Amino acid sequence: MKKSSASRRYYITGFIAAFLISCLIVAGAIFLCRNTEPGKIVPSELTSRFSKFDEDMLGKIKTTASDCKAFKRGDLSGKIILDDYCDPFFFLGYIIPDASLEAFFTAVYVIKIGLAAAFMYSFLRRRMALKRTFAILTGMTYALSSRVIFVASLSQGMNVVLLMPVALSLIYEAVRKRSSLSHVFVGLISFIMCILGTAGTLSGTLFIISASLIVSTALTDSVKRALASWGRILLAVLAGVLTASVAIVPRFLSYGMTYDFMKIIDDRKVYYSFFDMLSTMFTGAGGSLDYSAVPTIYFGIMPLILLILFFFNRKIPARLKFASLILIALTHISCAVSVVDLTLSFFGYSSVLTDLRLIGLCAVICFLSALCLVNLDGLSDTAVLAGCCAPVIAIILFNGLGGAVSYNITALYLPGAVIIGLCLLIYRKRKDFLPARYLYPVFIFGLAFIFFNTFVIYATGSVEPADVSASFVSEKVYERLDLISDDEISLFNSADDKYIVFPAEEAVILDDSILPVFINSVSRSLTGERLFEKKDFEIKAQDNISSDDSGYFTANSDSALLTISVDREEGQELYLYVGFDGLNDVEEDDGEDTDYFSSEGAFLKQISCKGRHIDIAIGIDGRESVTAPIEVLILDKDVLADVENKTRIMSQKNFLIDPSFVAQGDNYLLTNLPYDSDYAVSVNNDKVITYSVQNMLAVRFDNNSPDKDVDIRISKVSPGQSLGFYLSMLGAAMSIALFYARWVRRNKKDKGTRQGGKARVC
Amino acid sequence: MLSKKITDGTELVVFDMEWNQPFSGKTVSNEITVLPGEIIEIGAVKYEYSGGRLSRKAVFSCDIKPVIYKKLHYHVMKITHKTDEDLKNGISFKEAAANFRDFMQGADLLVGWGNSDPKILKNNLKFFGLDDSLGVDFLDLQPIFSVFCGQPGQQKSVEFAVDFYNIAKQDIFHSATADAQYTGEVFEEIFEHNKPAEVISAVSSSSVNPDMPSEFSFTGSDVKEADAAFAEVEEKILICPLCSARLASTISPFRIRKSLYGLMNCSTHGDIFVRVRAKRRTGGKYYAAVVMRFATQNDYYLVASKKEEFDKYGVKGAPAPAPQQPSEEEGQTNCE
Repeated sequence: MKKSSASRRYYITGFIAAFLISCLIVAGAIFLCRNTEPGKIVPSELTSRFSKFDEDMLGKIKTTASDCKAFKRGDLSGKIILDDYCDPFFFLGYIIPDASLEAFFTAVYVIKIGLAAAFMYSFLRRRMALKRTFAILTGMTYALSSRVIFVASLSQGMNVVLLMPVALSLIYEAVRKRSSLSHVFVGLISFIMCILGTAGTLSGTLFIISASLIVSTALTDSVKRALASWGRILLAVLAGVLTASVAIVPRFLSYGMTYDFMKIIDDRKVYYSFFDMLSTMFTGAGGSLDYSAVPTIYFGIMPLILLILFFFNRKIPARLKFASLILIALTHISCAVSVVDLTLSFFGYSSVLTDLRLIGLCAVICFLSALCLVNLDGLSDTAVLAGCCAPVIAIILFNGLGGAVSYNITALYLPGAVIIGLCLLIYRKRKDFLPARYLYPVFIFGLAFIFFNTFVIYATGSVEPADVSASFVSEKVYERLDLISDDEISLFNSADDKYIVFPAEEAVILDDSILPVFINSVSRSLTGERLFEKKDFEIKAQDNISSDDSGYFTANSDSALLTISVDREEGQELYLYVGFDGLNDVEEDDGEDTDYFSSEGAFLKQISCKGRHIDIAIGIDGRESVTAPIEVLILDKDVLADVENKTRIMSQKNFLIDPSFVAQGDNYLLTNLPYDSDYAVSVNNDKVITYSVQNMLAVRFDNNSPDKDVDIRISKVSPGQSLGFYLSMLGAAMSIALFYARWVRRNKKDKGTRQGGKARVC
Repeated sequence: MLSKKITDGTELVVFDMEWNQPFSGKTVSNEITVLPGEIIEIGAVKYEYSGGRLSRKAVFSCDIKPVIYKKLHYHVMKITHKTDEDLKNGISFKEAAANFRDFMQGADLLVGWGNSDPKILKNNLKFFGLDDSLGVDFLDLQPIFSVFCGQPGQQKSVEFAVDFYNIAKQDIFHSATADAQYTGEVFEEIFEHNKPAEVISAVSSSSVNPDMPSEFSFTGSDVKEADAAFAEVEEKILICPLCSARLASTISPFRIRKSLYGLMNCSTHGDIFVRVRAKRRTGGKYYAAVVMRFATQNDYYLVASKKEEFDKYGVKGAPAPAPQQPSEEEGQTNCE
């Protein structure tokens, strides 16, 4: 009893150490990088550190803080919460004051990395009985790999990172015990990963499938048993994923997927040679600097040496080496060959998914390293030396060709590899004689090495900026009208859901018109007057853009530039309308102030400079041979006030409109809800047809009862909800059936064994 | 540079086209960049140069029935005054292209107003599976007119040029045939009002081979500062985009506000205009947008005028003019 308590204490101390030391290392690296100039601690040439800490890495933390504020206000959509922030820490942010949210999520960032290290430690120590020192160091290498450091700022990705060691643990138990309950747990972890977000469904499930193959191969003594064990786990995974369908199916259907494989291949013809992939596996600082580079799995030289030693280890069966090699190669190729990567990333583009596949590989490599450490007796002295030399030689050979870092890094790694080799040799020979404290120098050295790694990852900017787009190529985006204005122009740039109603006869132009004309049309319907009047401007310079005299311009190249000059009179609010699609940018200059704005697509923007004479340079990119208007407009504030008075806020999606607000006969109800074909609208309990008017939801209805309130009900049914529900039911039934079948089979087996025993006794 | 000298008997074709464009945000079956516009009308006039004058020889006109962008875009509708009904009466593009090629036979130069027309013609030829080489040099008359009317650097409309030379307006503008005829008449007037040798010299130096890429644009990587964005591409703009030879500087690249200009020279391909703009992404990062192209009359003027401004005011450029106080009368008028 006493021994068990001491053993638990020993384990818990390790858990806390892995957690705390990882947190300290991350916090220390961030602090050092943010507060010291390059070259102050270590010469820049050695670390490739030439600039201060990349602030972009914390960009996502800022976004999370701002989304949490929106969540507190009730402005964050359920879809975003489910997809991006299914994370207890995010909900904990609810009770944190707004001013402290950024600091809170920075702390969460650090804590999550600490937890990842502790969870991996727990798996290695409890399941694999790896020595505590090695388990802590290996757990920390997992959590402090460049990929985890990047993903840690994204809730959805980090959920999966934290669950990977848990999943490994459950898979290990399922293969070892083969019990019904252990398989149910594997199904449950698959279910949880899927529920937590897209990354969990795609990369998390892929990880469980591949890791379970490796674990099954490692823990069974033949290929046949390994496959049988893997098959049982796959069934449990399938049941878990199916049960999660109610969340998965609507989520995936909301992405505008493309099944046009030829198009995917055409769009992303970026292949890397096998040599490219090899070279980047060994780069010193590692971690791709941008997405177009080959993604690497860098997480330090220690696991790399252990991985090589794993393949040299005589005690490791050949089938496991073969399965591991195939898995490593396939994962790496899937990330390096863009077409495969994009297809696995769900026909779209998501660097997070690539990262997660690589993190999953890191977790598997940690498992393989641990197997190697547990079986150190299977290594000869020559194998240890060769294993230590191999990565150094590879770095020397490939580094210059890969071009990622200087040779100075190689010079730093060389003594590292020598020390690792010596430690392993001594430990392997003397582990039965030396007391445990002789491992302390190894531990200290390991920590120093990991800290240096982490520092290099942060300092060299090998962490991808968090604002790298993680969205899908053709994800449906429903945006409000792109009207940028300081004034609260009713309906168009309001945070509230609003609506207006006007007689249908009055509205002549709705969708097929440019935004100012449309706004004027609505304004005339409501007030009888126009909100905007055109203002003349002088063309100062034209580059690749020609004009006619009707206010229309034609871009003669995919990079056109027009410079105009506008005189603003006292009190005038001026707006600029640019009708070109593509990437437009505007630079205002009134001699005192400048303002810069860019937009994807046409926009109507308030001219920010308040000077009397304003030069505006308008860059139009990507739309060759296209004709569109460019206008300067004056806003009539009196008309604006009138329009405001006739606009109503929708406090909810079901509401009553006062009869005094609706004319008898045909009317338009125009909302500022971004149009989505999934919206269903009923007026006085009659379903009406919905229209997209300037991307906003609108309906036309007949008001026959002028004295009664008009009852409007707007509902949205996500496609795939019922399909997802039925699949979930199927998954739940399958889980129960699997559990029951295995339980019955096991009972029979037990009974048979008892009867057999009796028979033999007899 | 014109590949053949203009001499007596040289034939040239002045042409104009109208095209329909896809609706923004609407899904189309093809990539919009592959077919940014579908031609719906071609108009052309054939001239012969002789004795310092242009004489009209033949007129070509045809309406084309669109098959990809069948609904007229409201911008195009507003400019051309055509309707969806008008589009139904044309012939197929293949037929129209064959007829136009027949009409072009013997011509050494294609002339247009603006440089979009040959690009869109080649786009359409390629899209419809036809040979997209035009096999004849192209001249953008717009910058030539700007130079001879004393307003270099400004891209004036055909209507402005017609008014400038007091040419009688018989047809409405923005029909391909009418615009081609007006453009031809403007060209006649340019010869009429200037020394033919000067005009021929300007025409020769400004003509380009439309079958060769004449403009190259690319962007640099995302960086934190506008300065770094310029630095990031400073080596790239010293390389000829066609032959990769090191370019010599006719006017060394200089920066004025958020743009960088330069006039470079490739020993094989001639003068190359360079423009770099530092642009900012929504996230706050900058990147350089680079345009390199064979220099036209407008480009020479643009670089020279910007260089003058740079020499006088430095990187910040000319300050904005001092605001003029509106007169009391103006103020009252506006209030009304």
